[in-house]
Amino acid sequence: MNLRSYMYLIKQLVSRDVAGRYKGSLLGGVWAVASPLIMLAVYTFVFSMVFQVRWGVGDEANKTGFALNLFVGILLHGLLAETLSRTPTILMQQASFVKKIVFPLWLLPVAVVISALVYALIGFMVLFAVFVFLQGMLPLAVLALPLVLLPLFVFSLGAGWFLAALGVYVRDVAQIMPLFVTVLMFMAPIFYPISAIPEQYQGWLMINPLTYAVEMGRALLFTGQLPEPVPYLGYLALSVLCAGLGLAFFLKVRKGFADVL
Amino acid sequence: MCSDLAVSLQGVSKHYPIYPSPVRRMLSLLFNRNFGTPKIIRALQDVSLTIAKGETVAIIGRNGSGKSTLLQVLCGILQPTAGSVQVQGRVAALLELGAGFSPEFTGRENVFMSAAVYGLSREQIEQKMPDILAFAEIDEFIDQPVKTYSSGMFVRLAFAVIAHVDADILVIDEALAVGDAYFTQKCMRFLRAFKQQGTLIFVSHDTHSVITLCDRALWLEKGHTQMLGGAKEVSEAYIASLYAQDAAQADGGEHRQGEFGSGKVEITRCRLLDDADKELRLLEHAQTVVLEVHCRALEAIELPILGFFVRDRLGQPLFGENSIAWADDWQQMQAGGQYCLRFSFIMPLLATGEYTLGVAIGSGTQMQHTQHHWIYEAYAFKAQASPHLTGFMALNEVSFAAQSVADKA
Repeated sequence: MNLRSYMYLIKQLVSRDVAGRYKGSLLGGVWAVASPLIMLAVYTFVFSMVFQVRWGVGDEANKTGFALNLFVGILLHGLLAETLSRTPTILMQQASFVKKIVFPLWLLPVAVVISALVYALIGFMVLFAVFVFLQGMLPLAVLALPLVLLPLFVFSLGAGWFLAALGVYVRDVAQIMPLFVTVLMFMAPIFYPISAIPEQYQGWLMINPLTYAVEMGRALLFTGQLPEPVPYLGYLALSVLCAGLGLAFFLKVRKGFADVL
Repeated sequence: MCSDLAVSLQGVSKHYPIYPSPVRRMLSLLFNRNFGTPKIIRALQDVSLTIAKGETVAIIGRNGSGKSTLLQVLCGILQPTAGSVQVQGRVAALLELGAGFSPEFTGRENVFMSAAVYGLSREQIEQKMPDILAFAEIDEFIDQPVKTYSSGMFVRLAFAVIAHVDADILVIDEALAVGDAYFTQKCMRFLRAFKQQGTLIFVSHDTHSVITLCDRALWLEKGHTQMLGGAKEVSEAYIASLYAQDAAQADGGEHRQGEFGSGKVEITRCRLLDDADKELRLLEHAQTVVLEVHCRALEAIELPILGFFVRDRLGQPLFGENSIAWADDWQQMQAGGQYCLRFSFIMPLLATGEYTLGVAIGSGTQMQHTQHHWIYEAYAFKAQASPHLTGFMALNEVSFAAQSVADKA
């Protein structure tokens, strides 16, 4: 199979995935927009009014600024979370692809990650719309959004490959993931700025691949600041490394899939 | 591999290590070492097969003999543990009903998906879609989710797809058995046309199709090659072996189920012979047959009778006869005597299926007799008739005439 066939196959898989998400439901694609909005409203209420979290930035004491800050983090987390929760069972769900036909199985996690990216992008469109509605216009720097998404996307690919392969042999992985996803959410500066964490612990937060992405995204959107080249390239390089390791693992243990499923 | 070979399998073996747990399997694969000793299941042992382009080869064998495993190795779904596999050309396989079909999506969407897996582009698929739909004949269901399909529809659609992906090599597993007679015929017509330019590998339990469609056959028994040769010889040897067990038992084995009698006479052998004096195991046309029964009388018997019945798969007696009408020829049996008894008759062409022959030796008259040895299933054979035949058997010596008659005033 050549590259063109792979691309076409990915396109098919992704469109089936995206279309299938809300297929048969009454509101259909509206959920893609409605569900992040509803979630955002709830979080805003709880964190800004009940817990009264304040961003240490100084000026954003108003709820809408808080909401938008939050939203960036939620969307980025969502991208990774979908990958982490869906890939461990993806091969089991498509067992006939493993056992009955010749299929480039490594494409399956890729389709999951791209599908998650599509929903993240929809969420970002909603974010931009709200932003423009509230503050009039978007800073030019938002054009650099793909830069923010890229390392996270690459990392997700690696995680997807690793988990898809691992999930075949170790079923517990699928059980642990929801827990892990929640931990990831709170261990990243989504609901709070990184400065809210005591200095000696800030380093730990940096291990979370979301942290840098969220900080970058917020800086881009609210201060129009482009990411610094050196840390960015380091982040990207690490992501690529993770992706490579994930794929290598997948390909190495691929032989046993048909026997275990 | 030289260019007129489509498939070359050399010394292919497939062993399945059964690990104590999936985790150990994963670790073993990761680090190229064995974690925990696996038990080895030998699905295939040293199988070699070369198939030239344009050839049609059948793979036959009992359930569990390794046929599906061999096909999976051939298609590249499984990697052989030893040996080499070389395939030249695009392979399209029908290995399982609805393989690769996602239940939530419509037939049309699944066709796109399946064809894409075979490497076709969107334009190519759109071009072929009308042909695929015409072949599958599922009409408006093509736009319904595949989960609503019956198994017959599945196989029609799956076959329609692989029939149109421009494959060089087609691999058909037993999945075809699910279709109705009409569809099976349609597939056979397609396969016959395909044979002209493509290579076909056919797995089936239907020995008749094997003989008519295939040039050569490979008989697998418990993972190794039992026989490789012309389709007719291999099929016949295979059928013979299927019943070899029965024959061995009829040749004076101990009492088994389905037998009873006084024991004064013992049937030692029972065979149905065709006009070439060979055991008839596959009935394909009406013919003169001889039912030959060997028996041994342990005591002297007056007015012996030999009777037989032919029964279908459900045990329903179809027809039979006994020797009373010829009693003059056989008035008694000596104690210790051995006899060879022969019934000769024209066996009609029976409907496709499996049949058994029951025999019994008794003595007395039609009204009152004793059974000395009755064997419910002494011999088994298969019949292969046209699929259009309904009812039990085909008629012989039929003629037809039509004539117009004047109206009565």
